[in-house]
Amino acid sequence: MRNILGICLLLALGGYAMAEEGGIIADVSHRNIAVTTGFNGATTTLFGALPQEGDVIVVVSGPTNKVVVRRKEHVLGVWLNRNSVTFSQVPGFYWVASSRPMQDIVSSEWLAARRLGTDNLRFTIADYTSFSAITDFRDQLVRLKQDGGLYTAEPASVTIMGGKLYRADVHIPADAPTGNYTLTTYLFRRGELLEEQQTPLMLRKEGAMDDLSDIAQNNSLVYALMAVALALLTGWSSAVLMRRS
Amino acid sequence: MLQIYLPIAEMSLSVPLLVIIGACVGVLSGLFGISGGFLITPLLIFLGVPPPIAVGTQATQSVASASAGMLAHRRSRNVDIKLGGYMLIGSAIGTSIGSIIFGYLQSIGQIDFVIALLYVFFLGGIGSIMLVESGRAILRRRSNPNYMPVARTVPRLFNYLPFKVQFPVSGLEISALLPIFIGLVAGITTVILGLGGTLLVPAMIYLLAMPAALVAGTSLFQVVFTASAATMLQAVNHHTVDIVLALSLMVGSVFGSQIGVRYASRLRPDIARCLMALIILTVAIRLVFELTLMPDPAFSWEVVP
Repeated sequence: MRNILGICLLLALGGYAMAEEGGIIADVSHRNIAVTTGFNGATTTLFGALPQEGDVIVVVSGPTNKVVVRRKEHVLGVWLNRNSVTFSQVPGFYWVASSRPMQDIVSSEWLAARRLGTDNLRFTIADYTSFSAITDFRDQLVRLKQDGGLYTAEPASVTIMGGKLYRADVHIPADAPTGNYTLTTYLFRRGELLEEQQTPLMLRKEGAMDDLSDIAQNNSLVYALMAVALALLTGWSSAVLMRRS
Repeated sequence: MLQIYLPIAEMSLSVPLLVIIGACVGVLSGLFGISGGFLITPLLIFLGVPPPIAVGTQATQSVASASAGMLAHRRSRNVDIKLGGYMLIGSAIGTSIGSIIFGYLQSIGQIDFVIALLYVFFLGGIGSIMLVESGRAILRRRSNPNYMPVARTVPRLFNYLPFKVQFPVSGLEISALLPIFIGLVAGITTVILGLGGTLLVPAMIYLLAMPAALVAGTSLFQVVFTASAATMLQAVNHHTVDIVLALSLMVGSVFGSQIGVRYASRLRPDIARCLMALIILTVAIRLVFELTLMPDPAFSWEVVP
Protein backbone atom coordinates (compact mmCIF):
# COMPACT_ATOMS: atom_id res chain seq x y z
CA MET A 1 0.00 0.00 0.00
CA ARG A 2 2.80 2.34 0.98
CA ASN A 3 4.58 1.47 -2.27
CA ILE A 4 1.54 2.25 -4.36
CA LEU A 5 1.09 5.53 -2.61
CA GLY A 6 4.75 6.36 -3.17
CA ILE A 7 4.39 5.74 -6.88
CA CYS A 8 1.19 7.75 -6.97
CA LEU A 9 2.77 10.76 -5.33
CA LEU A 10 5.78 10.49 -7.59
CA LEU A 11 3.53 10.44 -10.64
CA ALA A 12 1.55 13.34 -9.29
CA LEU A 13 4.69 15.31 -8.64
CA GLY A 14 5.86 14.50 -12.15
CA GLY A 15 2.71 16.04 -13.50
CA TYR A 16 3.01 18.98 -11.17
CA ALA A 17 5.30 20.92 -13.49
CA MET A 18 2.83 20.59 -16.35
CA ALA A 19 -0.02 21.51 -14.07
CA GLU A 20 1.50 24.96 -13.69
CA GLU A 21 0.19 26.03 -17.08
CA GLY A 22 -2.39 23.23 -17.73
CA GLY A 23 -5.39 22.09 -15.75
CA ILE A 24 -6.05 19.52 -13.08
CA ILE A 25 -4.08 16.32 -13.39
CA ALA A 26 -6.13 13.55 -11.89
CA ASP A 27 -5.48 9.84 -11.67
CA VAL A 28 -6.32 6.72 -9.70
CA SER A 29 -4.04 4.07 -8.26
CA HIS A 30 -6.03 1.39 -10.14
CA ARG A 31 -7.78 2.45 -13.33
CA ASN A 32 -8.88 -1.13 -13.91
CA ILE A 33 -10.11 -2.92 -10.84
CA ALA A 34 -10.18 -6.63 -11.60
CA VAL A 35 -13.09 -8.59 -10.16
CA THR A 36 -11.82 -12.13 -9.72
CA THR A 37 -12.95 -15.13 -7.66
CA GLY A 38 -11.60 -13.68 -4.43
CA PHE A 39 -12.87 -10.12 -4.98
CA ASN A 40 -14.28 -8.65 -1.78
CA GLY A 41 -14.36 -4.95 -2.54
CA ALA A 42 -11.43 -2.68 -3.37
CA THR A 43 -9.91 0.50 -2.04
CA THR A 44 -8.33 2.74 -4.59
CA THR A 45 -6.50 6.03 -4.16
CA LEU A 46 -7.53 9.07 -6.16
CA PHE A 47 -4.80 11.66 -6.47
CA GLY A 48 -3.60 14.48 -8.63
CA ALA A 49 -2.15 17.94 -8.94
CA LEU A 50 -4.02 21.23 -9.04
CA PRO A 51 -3.00 24.14 -11.30
CA GLN A 52 -3.53 26.51 -8.39
CA GLU A 53 -4.65 26.50 -4.79
CA GLY A 54 -8.31 25.98 -4.09
CA ASP A 55 -10.98 23.61 -2.81
CA VAL A 56 -11.56 20.18 -4.28
CA ILE A 57 -14.62 18.00 -4.61
CA VAL A 58 -14.25 14.55 -6.17
CA VAL A 59 -17.11 12.30 -7.24
CA VAL A 60 -16.94 8.64 -8.24
CA SER A 61 -20.07 7.54 -10.03
CA GLY A 62 -20.83 3.98 -11.14
CA PRO A 63 -22.74 2.59 -14.14
CA THR A 64 -26.43 3.54 -14.22
CA ASN A 65 -29.39 1.16 -14.08
CA LYS A 66 -33.14 1.14 -14.10
CA VAL A 67 -34.35 0.54 -10.56
CA VAL A 68 -37.82 -0.20 -9.22
CA VAL A 69 -38.56 0.97 -5.67
CA ARG A 70 -41.48 -0.73 -3.91
CA ARG A 71 -43.31 0.16 -0.74
CA LYS A 72 -45.12 -2.31 1.50
CA GLU A 73 -48.50 -1.02 2.59
CA HIS A 74 -51.13 -2.28 5.02
CA VAL A 75 -54.04 -3.69 3.01
CA LEU A 76 -56.80 -5.87 4.48
CA GLY A 77 -54.66 -6.59 7.52
CA VAL A 78 -51.54 -7.68 5.64
CA TRP A 79 -48.43 -5.88 4.43
CA LEU A 80 -47.99 -6.13 0.68
CA ASN A 81 -46.01 -4.34 -1.98
CA ARG A 82 -48.49 -1.84 -3.40
CA ASN A 83 -47.05 1.33 -4.85
CA SER A 84 -43.86 1.41 -6.84
CA VAL A 85 -41.81 3.95 -8.73
CA THR A 86 -39.32 3.03 -11.43
CA PHE A 87 -36.33 5.29 -11.86
CA SER A 88 -33.86 5.13 -14.71
CA GLN A 89 -30.34 6.57 -14.79
CA VAL A 90 -29.73 5.50 -11.20
CA PRO A 91 -26.00 5.22 -10.51
CA GLY A 92 -25.16 1.86 -9.00
CA PHE A 93 -22.47 3.53 -6.93
CA TYR A 94 -22.03 7.15 -5.89
CA TRP A 95 -19.26 8.50 -3.71
CA VAL A 96 -18.31 12.10 -2.90
CA ALA A 97 -15.34 13.57 -1.06
CA SER A 98 -14.41 17.18 -0.45
CA SER A 99 -11.48 19.09 1.01
CA ARG A 100 -13.81 21.18 3.24
CA PRO A 101 -17.53 20.84 4.04
CA MET A 102 -19.24 21.16 0.66
CA GLN A 103 -21.50 24.07 1.69
CA ASP A 104 -18.36 26.07 2.59
CA ILE A 105 -16.84 25.44 -0.85
CA VAL A 106 -19.74 26.44 -3.08
CA SER A 107 -23.37 27.53 -2.67
CA SER A 108 -25.95 24.83 -2.11
CA GLU A 109 -27.95 26.24 -5.06
CA TRP A 110 -25.03 25.55 -7.35
CA LEU A 111 -24.65 22.02 -5.93
CA ALA A 112 -28.36 21.38 -6.41
CA ALA A 113 -28.30 22.73 -9.97
CA ARG A 114 -25.35 20.56 -10.86
CA ARG A 115 -26.87 17.57 -9.01
CA LEU A 116 -23.67 17.21 -7.07
CA GLY A 117 -23.71 15.35 -3.78
CA THR A 118 -25.82 12.41 -2.62
CA ASP A 119 -28.70 14.64 -1.48
CA ASN A 120 -28.84 16.37 -4.84
CA LEU A 121 -29.03 13.25 -6.98
CA ARG A 122 -32.05 13.28 -9.28
CA PHE A 123 -33.16 10.26 -11.25
CA THR A 124 -35.29 10.05 -14.36
CA ILE A 125 -38.78 8.77 -13.59
CA ALA A 126 -39.63 5.86 -15.86
CA ASP A 127 -42.87 4.70 -14.30
CA TYR A 128 -44.96 5.28 -11.18
CA THR A 129 -48.21 4.21 -9.52
CA SER A 130 -48.59 7.26 -7.32
CA PHE A 131 -47.37 10.65 -8.48
CA SER A 132 -47.40 12.34 -5.07
CA ALA A 133 -45.09 9.70 -3.60
CA ILE A 134 -42.24 10.08 -6.09
CA THR A 135 -40.03 12.34 -3.93
CA ASP A 136 -40.45 10.06 -0.95
CA PHE A 137 -39.54 7.01 -3.03
CA ARG A 138 -36.42 8.78 -4.32
CA ASP A 139 -35.33 9.70 -0.79
CA GLN A 140 -35.89 6.16 0.42
CA LEU A 141 -33.91 4.71 -2.48
CA VAL A 142 -30.99 6.98 -1.64
CA ARG A 143 -31.25 6.03 2.03
CA LEU A 144 -31.31 2.30 1.30
CA LYS A 145 -28.28 2.67 -0.98
CA GLN A 146 -26.50 4.64 1.76
CA ASP A 147 -27.29 1.92 4.31
CA GLY A 148 -25.89 -0.65 1.89
CA GLY A 149 -22.65 1.33 1.47
CA LEU A 150 -23.29 2.03 -2.21
CA TYR A 151 -23.83 5.78 -1.75
CA THR A 152 -21.87 8.01 0.62
CA ALA A 153 -23.87 9.23 3.59
CA GLU A 154 -21.36 11.91 4.64
CA PRO A 155 -18.80 13.21 2.12
CA ALA A 156 -15.38 11.65 2.67
CA SER A 157 -12.34 13.87 2.94
CA VAL A 158 -9.88 15.01 0.31
CA THR A 159 -6.43 15.80 1.67
CA ILE A 160 -4.62 18.69 0.03
CA MET A 161 -0.85 18.69 0.46
CA GLY A 162 1.26 21.76 -0.08
CA GLY A 163 -1.70 23.52 -1.63
CA LYS A 164 -1.35 21.71 -4.94
CA LEU A 165 -1.37 17.97 -4.45
CA TYR A 166 -4.48 16.15 -3.36
CA ARG A 167 -5.50 12.63 -2.55
CA ALA A 168 -8.50 10.64 -1.30
CA ASP A 169 -9.26 6.96 -0.75
CA VAL A 170 -12.42 5.44 -2.15
CA HIS A 171 -13.72 2.05 -1.08
CA ILE A 172 -15.79 0.19 -3.64
CA PRO A 173 -17.75 -2.63 -1.95
CA ALA A 174 -18.03 -6.15 -3.40
CA ASP A 175 -21.67 -5.68 -4.37
CA ALA A 176 -21.03 -2.52 -6.40
CA PRO A 177 -22.00 -3.07 -10.04
CA THR A 178 -19.30 -3.85 -12.57
CA GLY A 179 -18.81 -1.55 -15.54
CA ASN A 180 -17.55 1.91 -16.34
CA TYR A 181 -17.12 4.36 -13.50
CA THR A 182 -16.33 8.04 -13.83
CA LEU A 183 -14.15 10.00 -11.50
CA THR A 184 -14.91 13.72 -11.71
CA THR A 185 -12.61 16.22 -10.02
CA TYR A 186 -13.87 19.77 -9.41
CA LEU A 187 -11.62 22.65 -8.44
CA PHE A 188 -13.17 25.68 -6.74
CA ARG A 189 -11.77 28.98 -5.59
CA ARG A 190 -13.74 31.49 -3.56
CA GLY A 191 -17.01 29.72 -4.32
CA GLU A 192 -16.45 29.65 -8.10
CA LEU A 193 -15.84 26.55 -10.19
CA LEU A 194 -12.47 26.94 -11.89
CA GLU A 195 -12.22 23.61 -13.57
CA GLU A 196 -13.53 20.10 -13.71
CA GLN A 197 -12.03 16.97 -15.11
CA GLN A 198 -13.22 13.45 -15.79
CA THR A 199 -11.13 10.32 -15.51
CA PRO A 200 -12.47 6.87 -16.42
CA LEU A 201 -12.30 4.05 -13.94
CA MET A 202 -13.36 0.50 -14.55
CA LEU A 203 -14.58 -2.35 -12.41
CA ARG A 204 -14.34 -5.41 -14.61
CA LYS A 205 -14.88 -9.12 -14.09
CA GLU A 206 -11.83 -11.01 -15.20
CA GLY A 207 -10.91 -14.61 -15.89
CA ALA A 208 -13.50 -17.20 -14.90
CA MET A 209 -15.88 -14.55 -13.48
CA ASP A 210 -15.93 -12.74 -16.83
CA ASP A 211 -16.35 -15.96 -18.83
CA LEU A 212 -19.23 -17.18 -16.68
CA SER A 213 -21.26 -13.99 -16.81
CA ASP A 214 -20.56 -13.70 -20.53
CA ILE A 215 -21.90 -17.21 -21.17
CA ALA A 216 -24.88 -16.59 -18.86
CA GLN A 217 -25.85 -13.50 -20.88
CA ASN A 218 -24.96 -14.47 -24.42
CA ASN A 219 -25.21 -18.26 -24.49
CA SER A 220 -27.89 -18.80 -21.91
CA LEU A 221 -28.87 -22.24 -23.23
CA VAL A 222 -25.28 -23.48 -22.94
CA TYR A 223 -25.09 -21.93 -19.46
CA ALA A 224 -28.37 -23.58 -18.41
CA LEU A 225 -27.17 -26.99 -19.62
CA MET A 226 -23.86 -26.43 -17.84
CA ALA A 227 -25.68 -25.65 -14.59
CA VAL A 228 -27.90 -28.74 -14.78
CA ALA A 229 -24.97 -30.98 -15.80
CA LEU A 230 -22.84 -29.62 -12.96
CA ALA A 231 -25.62 -30.24 -10.45
CA LEU A 232 -26.26 -33.80 -11.67
CA LEU A 233 -22.54 -34.54 -11.73
CA THR A 234 -22.07 -33.22 -8.18
CA GLY A 235 -25.03 -35.25 -6.95
CA TRP A 236 -23.90 -38.40 -8.70
CA SER A 237 -20.23 -38.17 -7.70
CA SER A 238 -21.15 -37.56 -4.06
CA ALA A 239 -23.29 -40.71 -4.15
CA VAL A 240 -20.35 -42.69 -5.55
CA LEU A 241 -18.02 -41.23 -2.89
CA MET A 242 -20.38 -41.99 -0.03
CA ARG A 243 -20.87 -45.57 -1.23
CA ARG A 244 -17.11 -46.18 -1.26
CA SER A 245 -16.62 -44.89 2.25
CA MET B 1 -13.92 -15.04 5.92
CA LEU B 2 -12.92 -16.96 2.78
CA GLN B 3 -15.19 -14.95 0.56
CA ILE B 4 -16.07 -15.97 -2.97
CA TYR B 5 -17.31 -13.60 -5.66
CA LEU B 6 -20.62 -14.55 -7.28
CA PRO B 7 -20.48 -13.46 -10.93
CA ILE B 8 -24.24 -13.26 -11.58
CA ALA B 9 -25.38 -11.95 -8.18
CA GLU B 10 -22.40 -9.51 -8.36
CA MET B 11 -21.49 -9.71 -4.69
CA SER B 12 -19.33 -11.86 -2.46
CA LEU B 13 -20.31 -14.31 0.27
CA SER B 14 -18.48 -16.57 2.71
CA VAL B 15 -17.87 -20.07 1.31
CA PRO B 16 -17.98 -21.93 4.67
CA LEU B 17 -21.32 -20.26 5.45
CA LEU B 18 -22.80 -21.36 2.11
CA VAL B 19 -21.50 -24.91 2.56
CA ILE B 20 -23.08 -25.13 6.04
CA ILE B 21 -26.42 -23.77 4.79
CA GLY B 22 -26.31 -26.30 1.96
CA ALA B 23 -25.50 -29.16 4.33
CA CYS B 24 -28.37 -28.35 6.73
CA VAL B 25 -30.94 -28.01 3.97
CA GLY B 26 -29.52 -31.15 2.31
CA VAL B 27 -30.18 -33.23 5.45
CA LEU B 28 -33.84 -32.16 5.46
CA SER B 29 -34.07 -32.82 1.74
CA GLY B 30 -32.77 -36.38 2.07
CA LEU B 31 -34.84 -37.13 5.17
CA PHE B 32 -38.18 -35.94 3.88
CA GLY B 33 -37.85 -35.83 0.11
CA ILE B 34 -38.46 -32.10 -0.20
CA SER B 35 -36.41 -29.80 -2.42
CA GLY B 36 -35.41 -27.47 0.40
CA GLY B 37 -35.81 -24.48 -1.88
CA PHE B 38 -38.38 -22.87 0.37
CA LEU B 39 -35.71 -22.77 3.10
CA ILE B 40 -32.72 -21.73 0.97
CA THR B 41 -34.48 -18.93 -0.92
CA PRO B 42 -35.32 -16.76 2.13
CA LEU B 43 -31.86 -17.43 3.63
CA LEU B 44 -30.13 -16.23 0.47
CA ILE B 45 -32.34 -13.14 0.28
CA PHE B 46 -31.47 -12.44 3.91
CA LEU B 47 -27.76 -12.60 2.97
CA GLY B 48 -28.36 -9.93 0.33
CA VAL B 49 -28.73 -12.04 -2.82
CA PRO B 50 -31.23 -10.39 -5.21
CA PRO B 51 -34.54 -12.35 -4.89
CA PRO B 52 -34.77 -13.51 -8.55
CA ILE B 53 -31.23 -14.92 -8.35
CA ALA B 54 -31.99 -16.62 -5.02
CA VAL B 55 -34.99 -18.34 -6.65
CA GLY B 56 -33.14 -19.36 -9.83
CA THR B 57 -30.03 -20.62 -8.07
CA GLN B 58 -32.00 -22.55 -5.47
CA ALA B 59 -33.45 -24.68 -8.30
CA THR B 60 -29.95 -25.62 -9.49
CA GLN B 61 -28.78 -26.62 -6.04
CA SER B 62 -31.99 -28.68 -5.62
CA VAL B 63 -31.04 -30.72 -8.70
CA ALA B 64 -27.79 -31.69 -6.98
CA SER B 65 -29.15 -32.49 -3.51
CA ALA B 66 -32.18 -34.30 -4.94
CA SER B 67 -30.09 -36.45 -7.30
CA ALA B 68 -27.66 -37.32 -4.50
CA GLY B 69 -30.54 -38.22 -2.18
CA MET B 70 -32.44 -40.08 -4.88
CA LEU B 71 -29.40 -42.23 -5.72
CA ALA B 72 -28.92 -43.03 -2.02
CA HIS B 73 -32.59 -44.03 -1.69
CA ARG B 74 -32.33 -46.10 -4.86
CA ARG B 75 -29.53 -48.17 -3.35
CA SER B 76 -32.06 -49.45 -0.83
CA ARG B 77 -34.68 -49.79 -3.61
CA ASN B 78 -36.80 -47.01 -2.17
CA VAL B 79 -37.69 -45.22 -5.40
CA ASP B 80 -40.80 -46.06 -7.41
CA ILE B 81 -39.72 -44.86 -10.83
CA LYS B 82 -42.92 -45.96 -12.58
CA LEU B 83 -45.13 -44.00 -10.19
CA GLY B 84 -42.72 -41.06 -10.30
CA GLY B 85 -42.94 -41.15 -14.09
CA TYR B 86 -46.74 -40.83 -14.04
CA MET B 87 -46.46 -37.90 -11.64
CA LEU B 88 -43.94 -36.28 -13.97
CA ILE B 89 -46.45 -36.38 -16.83
CA GLY B 90 -48.85 -34.51 -14.56
CA SER B 91 -46.33 -31.97 -13.43
CA ALA B 92 -45.28 -31.22 -17.02
CA ILE B 93 -48.91 -30.30 -17.80
CA GLY B 94 -49.28 -28.54 -14.42
CA THR B 95 -46.24 -26.37 -15.02
CA SER B 96 -47.68 -25.12 -18.31
CA ILE B 97 -51.08 -24.42 -16.75
CA GLY B 98 -49.30 -22.75 -13.82
CA SER B 99 -47.44 -20.36 -16.13
CA ILE B 100 -50.72 -19.33 -17.77
CA ILE B 101 -52.36 -18.68 -14.38
CA PHE B 102 -49.24 -16.85 -13.18
CA GLY B 103 -49.28 -14.62 -16.27
CA TYR B 104 -52.98 -13.88 -15.76
CA LEU B 105 -52.53 -12.98 -12.08
CA GLN B 106 -49.59 -10.78 -13.01
CA SER B 107 -51.66 -8.97 -15.64
CA ILE B 108 -54.42 -8.11 -13.15
CA GLY B 109 -51.77 -7.03 -10.64
CA GLN B 110 -53.01 -8.88 -7.55
CA ILE B 111 -50.33 -11.52 -7.61
CA ASP B 112 -48.66 -10.78 -4.27
CA PHE B 113 -51.91 -11.00 -2.40
CA VAL B 114 -53.08 -14.19 -4.11
CA ILE B 115 -49.70 -15.87 -3.63
CA ALA B 116 -49.59 -14.95 0.04
CA LEU B 117 -53.11 -16.22 0.66
CA LEU B 118 -52.59 -19.48 -1.24
CA TYR B 119 -49.31 -20.07 0.52
CA VAL B 120 -50.75 -19.67 4.00
CA PHE B 121 -53.85 -21.67 3.03
CA PHE B 122 -51.98 -24.61 1.47
CA LEU B 123 -49.10 -24.87 3.91
CA GLY B 124 -51.12 -24.01 7.00
CA GLY B 125 -53.91 -26.43 6.08
CA ILE B 126 -51.75 -29.36 5.08
CA GLY B 127 -49.31 -28.79 7.96
CA SER B 128 -52.10 -28.75 10.56
CA ILE B 129 -53.82 -31.87 9.20
CA MET B 130 -50.51 -33.75 9.14
CA LEU B 131 -49.61 -32.60 12.63
CA VAL B 132 -52.92 -33.76 14.10
CA GLU B 133 -52.82 -37.09 12.28
CA SER B 134 -49.20 -37.91 13.13
CA GLY B 135 -49.57 -36.64 16.70
CA ARG B 136 -52.48 -39.03 17.23
CA ALA B 137 -50.52 -41.90 15.73
CA ILE B 138 -47.57 -41.22 18.03
CA LEU B 139 -49.81 -41.00 21.13
CA ARG B 140 -51.58 -44.23 20.22
CA ARG B 141 -48.27 -46.02 19.82
CA ARG B 142 -46.98 -44.63 23.13
CA SER B 143 -50.04 -45.64 25.15
CA ASN B 144 -50.17 -49.13 23.69
CA PRO B 145 -46.77 -50.70 22.97
CA ASN B 146 -48.37 -53.61 21.09
CA TYR B 147 -50.31 -51.31 18.80
CA MET B 148 -49.67 -51.97 15.13
CA PRO B 149 -50.71 -49.15 12.83
CA VAL B 150 -53.30 -50.22 10.28
CA ALA B 151 -51.91 -50.15 6.78
CA ARG B 152 -52.96 -46.92 5.13
CA THR B 153 -55.23 -47.37 2.13
CA VAL B 154 -56.20 -45.20 -0.80
CA PRO B 155 -59.40 -43.27 -0.01
CA ARG B 156 -62.23 -45.52 -1.19
CA LEU B 157 -63.66 -43.02 -3.64
CA PHE B 158 -60.48 -43.28 -5.70
CA ASN B 159 -61.13 -46.99 -6.34
CA TYR B 160 -63.89 -46.05 -8.78
CA LEU B 161 -61.52 -44.13 -11.04
CA PRO B 162 -60.75 -45.73 -14.42
CA PHE B 163 -57.34 -46.61 -16.00
CA LYS B 164 -56.09 -48.87 -13.20
CA VAL B 165 -52.35 -49.47 -13.33
CA GLN B 166 -50.08 -51.78 -11.28
CA PHE B 167 -47.21 -50.16 -9.40
CA PRO B 168 -45.28 -53.23 -8.20
CA VAL B 169 -42.56 -51.37 -6.29
CA SER B 170 -45.09 -49.59 -4.10
CA GLY B 171 -47.45 -52.57 -4.15
CA LEU B 172 -50.32 -50.40 -5.34
CA GLU B 173 -52.99 -50.87 -7.97
CA ILE B 174 -54.50 -47.46 -8.55
CA SER B 175 -55.89 -45.35 -11.33
CA ALA B 176 -53.20 -43.68 -13.43
CA LEU B 177 -55.23 -40.47 -13.10
CA LEU B 178 -54.28 -40.17 -9.41
CA PRO B 179 -50.50 -39.72 -9.72
CA ILE B 180 -51.03 -37.60 -12.83
CA PHE B 181 -53.44 -35.35 -10.93
CA ILE B 182 -51.07 -35.03 -7.96
CA GLY B 183 -48.23 -34.13 -10.32
CA LEU B 184 -50.53 -31.61 -11.98
CA VAL B 185 -51.35 -29.81 -8.73
CA ALA B 186 -47.68 -29.95 -7.68
CA GLY B 187 -46.70 -28.48 -11.05
CA ILE B 188 -49.17 -25.60 -10.79
CA THR B 189 -48.13 -24.75 -7.22
CA THR B 190 -44.45 -25.01 -8.12
CA VAL B 191 -44.81 -22.32 -10.76
CA ILE B 192 -47.05 -20.03 -8.72
CA LEU B 193 -45.73 -20.64 -5.20
CA GLY B 194 -42.37 -22.38 -5.62
CA LEU B 195 -43.54 -25.20 -3.37
CA GLY B 196 -41.85 -28.05 -5.26
CA GLY B 197 -41.89 -31.35 -3.42
CA THR B 198 -43.45 -29.90 -0.30
CA LEU B 199 -46.97 -30.71 -1.49
CA LEU B 200 -45.96 -33.93 -3.19
CA VAL B 201 -44.88 -35.68 0.00
CA PRO B 202 -48.16 -35.36 1.94
CA ALA B 203 -50.10 -36.19 -1.23
CA MET B 204 -48.15 -39.44 -1.68
CA ILE B 205 -48.62 -40.36 1.97
CA TYR B 206 -52.31 -39.61 2.32
CA LEU B 207 -53.80 -39.83 -1.19
CA LEU B 208 -51.75 -42.63 -2.70
CA ALA B 209 -51.10 -44.50 0.57
CA MET B 210 -47.57 -45.24 -0.54
CA PRO B 211 -45.31 -47.20 1.81
CA ALA B 212 -43.51 -44.63 4.00
CA ALA B 213 -40.04 -45.81 2.97
CA LEU B 214 -40.75 -45.05 -0.70
CA VAL B 215 -42.15 -41.54 -0.30
CA ALA B 216 -38.95 -39.52 0.10
CA GLY B 217 -37.01 -41.27 -2.67
CA THR B 218 -39.88 -41.07 -5.16
CA SER B 219 -40.42 -37.42 -4.34
CA LEU B 220 -36.71 -36.68 -4.87
CA PHE B 221 -36.84 -38.55 -8.20
CA GLN B 222 -39.55 -36.09 -9.19
CA VAL B 223 -37.63 -33.07 -7.86
CA VAL B 224 -34.55 -33.94 -9.98
CA PHE B 225 -36.63 -33.41 -13.13
CA THR B 226 -38.76 -30.45 -12.05
CA ALA B 227 -35.78 -28.59 -10.59
CA SER B 228 -33.76 -29.25 -13.77
CA ALA B 229 -36.62 -27.82 -15.83
CA ALA B 230 -36.84 -24.83 -13.48
CA THR B 231 -33.08 -24.23 -13.80
CA MET B 232 -33.33 -24.28 -17.60
CA LEU B 233 -36.26 -21.84 -17.61
CA GLN B 234 -34.66 -19.46 -15.13
CA ALA B 235 -31.25 -19.47 -16.80
CA VAL B 236 -32.55 -19.10 -20.36
CA ASN B 237 -35.38 -16.62 -19.78
CA HIS B 238 -34.14 -14.54 -16.86
CA HIS B 239 -30.36 -15.19 -16.51
CA THR B 240 -30.92 -15.65 -12.79
CA VAL B 241 -28.80 -18.77 -12.10
CA ASP B 242 -25.48 -18.13 -10.38
CA ILE B 243 -23.34 -21.22 -10.96
CA VAL B 244 -20.72 -20.22 -8.38
CA LEU B 245 -23.39 -19.71 -5.71
CA ALA B 246 -25.13 -22.97 -6.69
CA LEU B 247 -21.86 -24.90 -6.56
CA SER B 248 -20.97 -23.55 -3.10
CA LEU B 249 -24.37 -24.65 -1.79
CA MET B 250 -24.21 -28.02 -3.56
CA VAL B 251 -20.89 -29.01 -2.04
CA GLY B 252 -22.61 -29.16 1.35
CA SER B 253 -26.08 -30.23 0.27
CA VAL B 254 -25.16 -33.39 -1.65
CA PHE B 255 -23.49 -34.88 1.42
CA GLY B 256 -26.15 -33.54 3.77
CA SER B 257 -28.78 -35.13 1.60
CA GLN B 258 -27.21 -38.58 1.82
CA ILE B 259 -26.79 -38.27 5.57
CA GLY B 260 -30.50 -37.44 5.68
CA VAL B 261 -31.29 -40.58 3.69
CA ARG B 262 -29.33 -42.74 6.17
CA TYR B 263 -31.38 -41.41 9.05
CA ALA B 264 -34.64 -41.68 7.10
CA SER B 265 -34.73 -45.45 7.56
CA ARG B 266 -34.19 -45.16 11.32
CA LEU B 267 -36.95 -42.62 11.79
CA ARG B 268 -40.39 -44.03 12.66
CA PRO B 269 -42.90 -43.05 9.93
CA ASP B 270 -45.23 -41.27 12.37
CA ILE B 271 -42.36 -39.20 13.77
CA ALA B 272 -41.17 -38.41 10.25
CA ARG B 273 -44.68 -37.17 9.34
CA CYS B 274 -44.82 -35.11 12.52
CA LEU B 275 -41.45 -33.44 11.81
CA MET B 276 -42.46 -32.79 8.20
CA ALA B 277 -45.69 -31.20 9.48
CA LEU B 278 -43.67 -28.96 11.80
CA ILE B 279 -41.41 -27.83 8.94
CA ILE B 280 -44.42 -27.01 6.76
CA LEU B 281 -46.10 -25.14 9.62
CA THR B 282 -42.92 -23.20 10.41
CA VAL B 283 -42.78 -21.92 6.84
CA ALA B 284 -46.46 -20.98 6.98
CA ILE B 285 -46.09 -19.19 10.33
CA ARG B 286 -43.01 -17.33 9.12
CA LEU B 287 -45.05 -16.06 6.19
CA VAL B 288 -47.94 -15.03 8.46
CA PHE B 289 -45.50 -13.00 10.54
CA GLU B 290 -43.93 -11.50 7.44
CA LEU B 291 -47.38 -10.46 6.24
CA THR B 292 -48.78 -9.08 9.47
CA LEU B 293 -45.81 -7.47 11.23
CA MET B 294 -44.86 -3.96 10.16
CA PRO B 295 -42.01 -4.27 7.69
CA ASP B 296 -38.76 -2.47 8.39
CA PRO B 297 -37.73 -0.99 6.06
CA ALA B 298 -41.03 -0.71 4.22
CA PHE B 299 -39.17 0.14 1.02
CA SER B 300 -37.10 -2.14 -1.16
CA TRP B 301 -35.34 -1.71 -4.47
CA GLU B 302 -34.36 -3.97 -7.29
CA VAL B 303 -32.54 -3.45 -10.59
CA VAL B 304 -34.85 -4.13 -13.53
CA PRO B 305 -33.79 -4.71 -17.14
